[in-house]
Formats: sequence, C-alpha cells, structure tokens
Amino acid sequence: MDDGGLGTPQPAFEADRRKVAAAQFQKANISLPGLWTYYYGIGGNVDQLGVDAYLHELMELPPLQMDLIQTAIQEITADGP
Amino acid sequence: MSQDSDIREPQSGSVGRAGAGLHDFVLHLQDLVLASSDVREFLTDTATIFATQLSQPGNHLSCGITVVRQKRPVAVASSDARARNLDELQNSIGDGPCVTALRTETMVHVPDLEADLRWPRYNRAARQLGIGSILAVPMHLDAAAQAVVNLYSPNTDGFPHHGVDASVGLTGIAAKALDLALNIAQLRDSRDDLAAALKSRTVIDTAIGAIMAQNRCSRDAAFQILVKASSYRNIKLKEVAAGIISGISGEREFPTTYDE
Repeated sequence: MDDGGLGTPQPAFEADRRKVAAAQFQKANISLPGLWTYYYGIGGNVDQLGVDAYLHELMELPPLQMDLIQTAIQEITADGP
Repeated sequence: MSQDSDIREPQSGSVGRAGAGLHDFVLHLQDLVLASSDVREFLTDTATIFATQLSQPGNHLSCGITVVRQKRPVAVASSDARARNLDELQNSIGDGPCVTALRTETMVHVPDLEADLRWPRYNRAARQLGIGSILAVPMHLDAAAQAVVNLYSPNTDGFPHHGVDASVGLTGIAAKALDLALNIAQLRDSRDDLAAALKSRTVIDTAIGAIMAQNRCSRDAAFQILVKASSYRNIKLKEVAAGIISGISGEREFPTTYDE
C-alpha cells in the first residue's frame, strides 16, 4: 500500500490517503485531542493543529506522519468499545 | 406552604426551612463534585438527593438523570430501581417524555399518564410500573453535553405548580455542579491519556534508536521499518517496539517517571 517512504511524493496518491484518513477518523467517532494524544504516544511529531488541518484536507504531511496517523486511528478503533 | 415553594426566589428575611434546605442542597452538591471519582457516581448521588429533596409525604418521587456527551457512551443514573427501569424502558423504546425533553431542551410535564396521548406505548408501560405523572427538566450546560432530570411520581398530578417550580430551581443549581463534574472528568481523562502517551512514546523512541543502530539508518527509515512490522503482523506499534527492546536487553518493564 505504501512505497516505504522511498519514492517521491505523488500528489494524487497523497490526497487520496488524506481523504481515506479523514473518512476513517469521522467514522471512528474519536475526538481530535484523543487521536492526537495517541498519535503523539506512538511517536508522532506534528502538533494537534497540523493533524486537524491534515484531516480537513488543508495540509500535507510527510509520509511517515501520515502512516502514524493512520496507525493511531486503526489501533484506537481496534481497542474501541 | 411547602418546604420547596420558595426555591427560585428565596425572599430575604424568610430563611425558613426552604432556605435551609436549599443551602444544604448546594453544599451537598459541592461535596459530591469533590468526592465523586467519576461522573456516573456523581449523577447517582445527585439523583438520590433530588428524590429526597422533592418528595413530600404521600408523594414519594423517583429520579433519574441522563447525560449525553459527544463521542462517549450515554450516562444514566437513578435514585432507585423504579427510576432505573423507567429510564431503561424509555431508552429502549426510543421515545417518551424524557427523551423528548433531552432532544428539544424544553421541559416536558405529563400530569396524568392515563390521559396523555403523546407516548401511548411508554405511558402504558410506565403506568404498569405504578407511575401516575412525570416531569422531565432539561439541564442547560456549558459543556458540550445534554442532560435531563426525570422525575416520576406515583400520583396523578404529582407535580403541582410549586412542585414544578422547585424542580426547575434545583435542576438549575445542579446543572452548574454537573458542568464542573464533567469538566473535571474530561481533564482527568486527558491527563490519563497523556500519561499513557508519554509512557508509550518512551518505549517507541528507545526501539527506534535500536533499529537505527542495527540498520545504520535514519530515524525516519527506522520508523518505517517499525510501522511496517506492526501492520504486517497486525500487532500494535508499541508492542512491536517493546518486543524489540526486550529482544536486545531482556527488559520488559519501562518505568517512566511522571508525577503530578
């Protein structure tokens, strides 16, 4: 699914990932502070505002940070009630 | 006339039983906010003092409180089993005076369940549980939440004029206390989340360092390796990281100092 962070950024692909992440976040019923705290806990480096902007498709993030946001959403959802 | 008739506008000079009762009520609520370990416990105790405070001889009330918060399970608490059954019944039917009060944020008064036509299914079931009248008063909160106080009387017309006024007055005071309790609960939750995040980040950072040393790679590349390992094996990132560290040093516990 990802290119291992080696390839050059592919705008269309990145925008797609952003949409997927935004949709997953909406569906997962998680609060933004909750998501950010978890993402920070697994090593994320972008602040809460940046994550918010990313999930609203206003900002692009490095591939690793996108991976970590996605991982955070997945792990929280798997833990959920 | 009654103990609670003056609750909304306590007149100066007439600090009789009403004033004293109200004073105790406020003190009691403050104690509850301070002593309760969670919102649910606070709500249960509040429902109990509502029922005690508003009951009259020959009109023993039951009280239930429902709180709906964003992205959280609904909290329901009650003064006794009767109120609990009635609240659960209404939530399972999905309609009724209390649900309506919660949704519309306006007070709903059913003076006579027998005569009321708005919620036939719920009313019939409530009558079978020995209820004659219902008053549902919404709480106006600053927090992003909706709450309603449900009062059940075994009598028809169990909430005469002054009874309604007294209930509205107490609900207004309790709403402030609930706001505080919700605030404290939210702060406590985010503190716990942050403490967990600090702990987990320490483990992951240590593992990243180990991967960098073993593979002679950059931090980002080490992270990619960790993320991939986690997603291929469907194991949490933190657990993969802990596995890497214990594989090197045998350490399984990672004490992090985080004191208040």
